[in-house]
Amino acid sequence: MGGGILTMGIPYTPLEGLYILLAASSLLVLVIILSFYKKLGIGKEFTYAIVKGGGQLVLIALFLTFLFQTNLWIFLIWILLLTMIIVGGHTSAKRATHMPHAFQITTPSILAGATTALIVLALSRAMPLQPQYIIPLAGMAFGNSMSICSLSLDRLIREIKLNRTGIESMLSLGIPSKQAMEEYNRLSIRAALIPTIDRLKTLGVIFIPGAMAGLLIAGTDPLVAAEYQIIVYLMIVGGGIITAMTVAFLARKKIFTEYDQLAEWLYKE
Amino acid sequence: MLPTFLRKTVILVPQESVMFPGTVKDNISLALRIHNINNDNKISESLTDTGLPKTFLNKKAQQLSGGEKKRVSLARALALSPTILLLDEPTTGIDPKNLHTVEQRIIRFTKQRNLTALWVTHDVSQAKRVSDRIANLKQGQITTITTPNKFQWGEAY
Repeated sequence: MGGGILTMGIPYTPLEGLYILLAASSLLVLVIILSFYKKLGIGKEFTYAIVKGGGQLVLIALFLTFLFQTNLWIFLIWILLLTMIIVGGHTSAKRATHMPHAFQITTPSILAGATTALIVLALSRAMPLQPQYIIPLAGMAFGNSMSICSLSLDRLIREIKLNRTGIESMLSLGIPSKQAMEEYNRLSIRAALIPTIDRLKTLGVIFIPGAMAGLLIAGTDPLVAAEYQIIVYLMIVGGGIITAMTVAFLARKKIFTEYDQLAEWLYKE
Repeated sequence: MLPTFLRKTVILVPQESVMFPGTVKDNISLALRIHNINNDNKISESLTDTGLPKTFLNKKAQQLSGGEKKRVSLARALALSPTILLLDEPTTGIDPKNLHTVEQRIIRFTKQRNLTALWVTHDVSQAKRVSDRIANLKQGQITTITTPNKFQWGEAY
């Protein structure tokens, strides 16, 4: 794959892009100086975040350049996907304060939602099996599943902690844990999907989403770009629902003991 | 033994009476439905035993007073026809003028239904009023078991 394709739609080379990036950074420098001057207390963290995030993007860009040009991509892509799953699972697990081995819930949940979405995309031919399609779409699928996983797990734990006495009352009447947590599962799934559904409702009105923006910049027909964005959103919603449902299903083993009692970690504040 | 089966037979009525969403009828019938127990007779019997009128069935459970919630909580447990009832401070939140009535109701239905009740209380005079035997608990250990007549005030902690 030639370098020409990489710059398609954007009328400059990577080196020219670096100058433009430096010029565009002048606004950022101004903001950082202003934040130090105004003592907003965000200058240091902001600078760190920019350097870290920017560095990560440059590294992934270098890796992608190599990946797009090598025949080994079919092996390397698995390493990349595995990294996405592990990092996503561990990041999301941090939301579940006090829950032991939360990654045992988050990792399979993210995997279930994202891979189902990617398989559907591949089977429907919306995602040609080439690295330049697989990587960005996998990034969106795993990233979105991770957010939904974090949101649903966080909400589920909060609901269970808030309603401990109610759940104990149900359990004391011999109601199985599955039924006792049904209502809270519903709430957590719904809560986790609210941002996605809201974004879906405002698509193209408040903002032009990532995939469509990227395609427009790359010179794609706006109608095709819109169609593709809808496909991406269907994938995000479908995968997200599967992730949230898997979280609800797997979390029961961590929330309740084998004797259908609330687990001890739920009583820690 | 499966915990769900055990809890149908030995039922804990917690100190805090949390009402499930819906009506009083929904609250009492929830566990019955899950255990596949025929509903209607059980509901009316348990309601009568706890002294709640049938008009209460359609009231929103979460809008009841503390004392009423306590009775619904008892009715929920009774509807399952347990053999042992674990009562954690069952008269907390009940109006002092109704205290004696509630105590008498609990004693009456335990006798009528021939069920054992383990009644936890910090009120020694209540313990002497309602029990056949009193176990004194200190730091999680039973120190004495005696009859109300033989129970000494100094034994209570």
